[in-house]
Amino acid sequence: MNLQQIQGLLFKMHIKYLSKILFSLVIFHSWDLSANILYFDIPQKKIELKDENSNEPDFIVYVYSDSMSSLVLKITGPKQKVILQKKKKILGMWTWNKTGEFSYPSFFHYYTNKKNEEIDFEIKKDLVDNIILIGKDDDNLKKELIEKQLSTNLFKVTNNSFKELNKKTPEFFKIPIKLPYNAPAGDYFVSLSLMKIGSKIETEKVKIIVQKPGISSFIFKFAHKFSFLYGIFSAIIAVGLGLAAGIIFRKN
Amino acid sequence: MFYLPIAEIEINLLIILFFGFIVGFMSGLFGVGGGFLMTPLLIFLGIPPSTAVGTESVQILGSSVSGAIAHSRKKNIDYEIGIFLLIGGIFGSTVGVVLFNFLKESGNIDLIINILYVIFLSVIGFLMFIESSISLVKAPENKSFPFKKKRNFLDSLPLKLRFRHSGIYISLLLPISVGVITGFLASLMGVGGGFIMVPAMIYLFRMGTVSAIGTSLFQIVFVTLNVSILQATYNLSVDLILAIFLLVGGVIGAQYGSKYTSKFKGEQIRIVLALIVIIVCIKMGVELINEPSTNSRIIIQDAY
Repeated sequence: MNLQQIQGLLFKMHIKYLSKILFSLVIFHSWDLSANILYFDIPQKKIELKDENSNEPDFIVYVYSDSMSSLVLKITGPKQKVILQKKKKILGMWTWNKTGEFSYPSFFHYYTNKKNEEIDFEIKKDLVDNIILIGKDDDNLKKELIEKQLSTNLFKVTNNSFKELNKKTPEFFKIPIKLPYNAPAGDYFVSLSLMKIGSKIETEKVKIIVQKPGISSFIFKFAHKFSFLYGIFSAIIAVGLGLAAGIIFRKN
Repeated sequence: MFYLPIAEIEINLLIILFFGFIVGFMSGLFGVGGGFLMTPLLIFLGIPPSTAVGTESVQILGSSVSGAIAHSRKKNIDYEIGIFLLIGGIFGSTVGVVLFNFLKESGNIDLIINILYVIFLSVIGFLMFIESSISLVKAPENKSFPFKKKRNFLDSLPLKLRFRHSGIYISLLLPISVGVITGFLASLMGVGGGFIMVPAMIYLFRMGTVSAIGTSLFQIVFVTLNVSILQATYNLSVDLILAIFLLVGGVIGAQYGSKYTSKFKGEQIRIVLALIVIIVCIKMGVELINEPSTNSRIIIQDAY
């Protein structure tokens, strides 16, 4: 039994075979009992965001870990460049003032199996490390940006989110994931890490593609990736509609 | 509710259609472009001012094109003057978009848009109100030509050309300068600029009213085309979905509005428009001194 076979089995999620899998794992890894086995799988690699009102998860992550230490599943979204502006008063009028320019993944969601200080610290550190401030580094600005993003649900920490699949197999978990509707479409990366005092093991990142149904997502991508063509396309649509309206109302 | 991808807010598109219709109706009724009313209304609806301005350019482009073609068929466009207006317009609007980008990044674009609106709407609103009130009180005079052809400093400007279509002899610096100003305002305020161009052509160039309107529309089409493409490319401020709904509502509204024009006196119509402009101006002024509900905001520059 190797990890690929575990993946296959996790993928199919035939629960009745879980005890046999565990038995196989123990035999296969018995030569290195000090190492932890950490594995996760996402059956769906292409995810279409469900309606905001739907309570159903967008996808489920299946996890295997033989350690009950602190587990953190991390999901990051497509990269973006943003400007953070703070409000400012000039001559009695309110305006905004650029405080920093940042580059970072647009989405950070963390799912943990428990809540503790070690996890909280690691998540905060991970966020600060992954947010790149263009120009002079400033942790206070980064913290402000993180707080702002937390308020929009694009950054989020969900504790105690690992659900046991079966009481008899406490090493197997599932994490139902519901992405917020304002999550941008694009390539996302999922990774799982196990934290023990002083050490951290992290799995390889798994890529998933998040798609948003409807024209809004298409327009967002079109406008950001091919802005010049988008401008021309917008102008053509406007001219076309204007001409069509002219013809329709002239006939009437 | 519908999520507008560039404005980044959720909004009921029926409201947008309704506002498009109302402003279109007023455009048809009052015979104005409507950009200077639509942009503030979009801001009041919660659309970010920069997106409101960029999107309005697309809407104005759509709503001007059929009018420009109609004027072209009737030979109401003075293409010679139009070309110089256009040269100035393209230059002014390009500079305007570059400045817009700088102000957007520094965070001051909303303030500048609001200030420009307060200034222009207050001037236009009060002048229109005073002029229409006086006209309403005074008995109508038979004015075949509203001004005497006096010589002034504009006649002494260099690079004079004879424009045969309009029968005028003016410095080409005049249409270029007017084009630069209107192009600049088009990119910063999301207006066509007809409210400046048409009076300038009538009173400064001494063109005929119909020819001034036709030539102004010709310039507006190409300047808003330039602004739309540049705003989408450099400022990501064009929301196509928003523009489409505004355009559809506006075109329908304008048809109904124009049917009611003949039922009112010109002065009555102008006084109502002046009051609307003043109300919008006051609301924009209040927005300037209202403290934003959030301490900070995030502007997406690039998404990969």
